[in-house]
Amino acid sequence: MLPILIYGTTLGFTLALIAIGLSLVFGVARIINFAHGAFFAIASYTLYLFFITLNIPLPVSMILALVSTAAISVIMYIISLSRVRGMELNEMIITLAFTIIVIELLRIYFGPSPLGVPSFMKGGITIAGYVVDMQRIFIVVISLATLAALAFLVKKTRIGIGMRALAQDEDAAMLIGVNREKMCIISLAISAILAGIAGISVTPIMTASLEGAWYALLNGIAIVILGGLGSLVGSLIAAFIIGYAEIIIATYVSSHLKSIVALIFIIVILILRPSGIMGRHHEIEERV
Amino acid sequence: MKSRKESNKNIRTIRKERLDRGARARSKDLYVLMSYEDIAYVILPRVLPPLILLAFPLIVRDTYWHMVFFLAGYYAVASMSWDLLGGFTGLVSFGHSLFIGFGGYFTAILNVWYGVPIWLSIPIGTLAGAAMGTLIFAPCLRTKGVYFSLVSLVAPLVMVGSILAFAEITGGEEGIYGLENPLTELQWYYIMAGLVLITFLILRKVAYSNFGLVLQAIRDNEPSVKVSGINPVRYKVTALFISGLFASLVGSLQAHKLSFVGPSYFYLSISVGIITMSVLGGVATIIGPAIGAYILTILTEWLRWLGGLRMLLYGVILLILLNFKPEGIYRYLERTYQTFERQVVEE
Repeated sequence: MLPILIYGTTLGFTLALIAIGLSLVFGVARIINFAHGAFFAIASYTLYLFFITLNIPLPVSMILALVSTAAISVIMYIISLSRVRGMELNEMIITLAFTIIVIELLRIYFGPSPLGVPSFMKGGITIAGYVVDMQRIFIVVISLATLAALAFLVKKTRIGIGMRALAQDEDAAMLIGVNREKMCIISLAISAILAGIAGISVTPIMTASLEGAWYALLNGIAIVILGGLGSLVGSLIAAFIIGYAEIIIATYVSSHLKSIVALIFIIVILILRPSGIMGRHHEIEERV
Repeated sequence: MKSRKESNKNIRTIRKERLDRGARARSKDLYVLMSYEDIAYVILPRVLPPLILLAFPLIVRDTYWHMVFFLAGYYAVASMSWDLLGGFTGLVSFGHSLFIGFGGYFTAILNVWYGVPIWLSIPIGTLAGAAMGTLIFAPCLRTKGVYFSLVSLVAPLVMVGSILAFAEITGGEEGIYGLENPLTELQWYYIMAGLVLITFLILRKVAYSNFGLVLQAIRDNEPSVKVSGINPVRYKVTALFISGLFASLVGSLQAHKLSFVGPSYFYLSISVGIITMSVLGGVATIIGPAIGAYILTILTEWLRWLGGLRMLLYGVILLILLNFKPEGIYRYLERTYQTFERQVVEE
């Protein structure tokens, strides 16, 4: 029971970081970002590049990895996404094409096999007779810190207020003087950083792999639908539901069936409550 | 200011004028029959491509190229069926390979494990595959197209995982071997060429009928469709099933031709290939995706040395096309065929 709780919690935090970024971009910029999984993979691989290949100290290479992930997301927005704003279908296809390009380039440069990175901290803590390694503690701590920072950013700062205004009513926000393009870029960069933090912190456990991008995207999508598109709290709750469910299925049934959990959750929630667990229904009716 | 005007007056500017070439011929009137030139103008683009398609094996006797054209036809049918969803209904499917895979697997299970003969296993497998795919996608049709796109990306990835999990039915990683394949390459070529033509005729009929009009209305403005007293969900499910039918049929044919099905039928590269071909040929034109499929399949076959870089090629093509040339090849061809440019001297 305890292992499930521990693994589920770490997975839940990781998935929460991934899904909240996806949800944020949808809420603020109205972009369904299929390139989100690519950000996850970019962060893992750039960490490997800086930390292992170039031998830069860990904290510096973490920051470099995050910065490069954010920079790539901004470049993606500027060179191609900004041209097709408002055309939803083209946005989706372009972000998917971007994911494919990134994954193929990573495959060319780093090779197809997964790359391992050593744990950031050695040792472990014993909780109720079960040893929890420091990496998982690190994931939980860094995720909590990130979520707190994100909550502060969204609730208190000028940028966050602008974002929330855009999410509530785009026209009114722009009328007041919120710079929509700037906010879209900032929200995309923040979401890339969130995915990047998730990618970096799980790299020692999961290794930097190309499948990681699809795994992150698949679960991110499932969580965002389960929690309600654009709802950050809903994503947080749904991330833990899916995290625990996956661990339970992987432990008791089969690890191959892990991914089917996501699809079953999506289909059930779309039948029972299409707006998601935290989505407000009238708002969804308008948007969806 | 004055001098500029004067200088403008003196220089004779040349501009391009674009004239409609076939206005008389395209008026769908008896005028068409006035000259052989007009008759040829109307008939040639409709008759020549199918003739080339049917006469191709007589000109090129290399079996290898028959196989390439079979593959191109496979993609053509799949992308035309994608176009009914993505182009006409506004449901962009990122996982059209789901239908292909279901069609292939159902056919294989029927043929190999229950011994159903080929002429029964293909239709039953096709129907079952389309029904199964529709069943999975149907819940997301109550909401806007975004949900459909999200789920359609997830579903085939999940199916690959489930195939490995239920290895005793699906054969796992190795797939199912030994489907009945009584036909030669040339016969498969003609089956596929016929299927491409029939699919085009049927899908064009569907897309430009009243049914297709409702689909386009759903794409452009779903609330207005609801207000008109039409249930959009029913139309979307029907469109999904029709589209799935063709994709599933292609999968089941492929399964019999290769005598093999495996998880590769569900791979994302197939879905992305279908999208790339449709965008290349021109979305919402039905014939466009088929043109795109033939061009891109032959191109990738020609660039075989790229090997695993095929996906990269698809991604780059998609990115460039959607940013700079979203109209697609077919619309460009149509425009240049129906108009001609000439230079006019302006006084």
